[in-house]
Amino acid sequence: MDSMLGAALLFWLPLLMIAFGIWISSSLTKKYIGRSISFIGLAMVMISPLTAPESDSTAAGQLLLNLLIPVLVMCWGLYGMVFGGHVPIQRLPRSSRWIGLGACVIAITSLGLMHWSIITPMWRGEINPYWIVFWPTFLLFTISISSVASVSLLTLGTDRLDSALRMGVLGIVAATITISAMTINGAITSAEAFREHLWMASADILGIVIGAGSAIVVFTIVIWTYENTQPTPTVTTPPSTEEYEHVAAVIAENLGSADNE
Amino acid sequence: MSDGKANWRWLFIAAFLPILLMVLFDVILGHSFPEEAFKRFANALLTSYVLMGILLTGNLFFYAGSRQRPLAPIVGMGIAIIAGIAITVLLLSQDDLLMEANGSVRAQILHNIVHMLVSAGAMALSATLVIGSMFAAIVSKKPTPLFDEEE
Repeated sequence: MDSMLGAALLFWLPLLMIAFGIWISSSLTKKYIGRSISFIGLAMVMISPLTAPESDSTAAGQLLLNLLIPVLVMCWGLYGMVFGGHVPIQRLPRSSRWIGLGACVIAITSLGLMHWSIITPMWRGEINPYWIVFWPTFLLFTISISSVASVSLLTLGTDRLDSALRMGVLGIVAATITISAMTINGAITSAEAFREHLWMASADILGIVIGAGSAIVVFTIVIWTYENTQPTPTVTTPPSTEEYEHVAAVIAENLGSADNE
Repeated sequence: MSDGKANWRWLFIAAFLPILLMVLFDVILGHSFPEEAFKRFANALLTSYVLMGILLTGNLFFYAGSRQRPLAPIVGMGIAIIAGIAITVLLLSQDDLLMEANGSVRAQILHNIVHMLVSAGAMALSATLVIGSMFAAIVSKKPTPLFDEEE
């Protein structure tokens, strides 16, 4: 098969299938159809380094495969931490909070080990080019939004100092890992190379936030302009006596008789 | 910090100050602004604008069902997306202005899309971690009753 055709069919088409599946599962009542399409697409993207090895883009599929276990462990851990707390429904045993915390620590440690030990995600015998995009972006964004979460808990909630401090600790942990990576060489990535990529990650985050924000602004302007062109809705006539009686009957039926007051 | 305006200012500072501090620390270590960072910023901006525009148009198409699916907003968004794509292609065609280590405009566009998906994935995972931890921190405390129980 031609390499371009192979990349189109075995990487880009499955990538579109993931997005299409998510769209379908959020649009239709039969959600399993969308989920199945997304799952097949995801699996095909993850095995794309084997099925379309000529395409450079398949490095992203390889990275997805490398990150699958830490991501699943992290999500499972978060589930345990949340539902092991004081939630009104589906509460798990108290121990699941600590097990969940342990799972999250293991997941973050394994990501750190990917930087500092020999389990660095590789591709074509070199470091995966998208790993060095993912890792600084993940760290920087974690610092940024845990700081936002901490401030919002302090300013928007009441009696949330304890929770805000915990979010602050998460931000400090992420900042410590980042500073360590900036000063201590990794197994394959040097501290200097990491610092270079940190600039790129900052540029990426800023670009994505401004770009997505601009699209939302344009979308708002388009909708606002369209709505402004619409004629004013006509004033409806007041309810008739029969309609008032019907409403009164429905209210009475729902409230019960005067004896129940 | 009690009024809404002050809150937004604090949230904005909280979002960008840590990133600025990290970059400042890098400058202290003797690293200067890499030229490639501007290209990355511009490519990320244009790619996220186009992809977010497509996402919003998709949602507009679906959710407009209850409004007899008006065509005008979809056409409007279509024009906005096409303008975004045209600007991207135009800027990428200007020699070394936005081109990174890719041989052609098409290769750069495909690279931008994959790069954007990886960065967005990292941001989504980070958001999952922080939001999950925030909920865990909130529910770890026994909720205080809203009203004292009547005797």
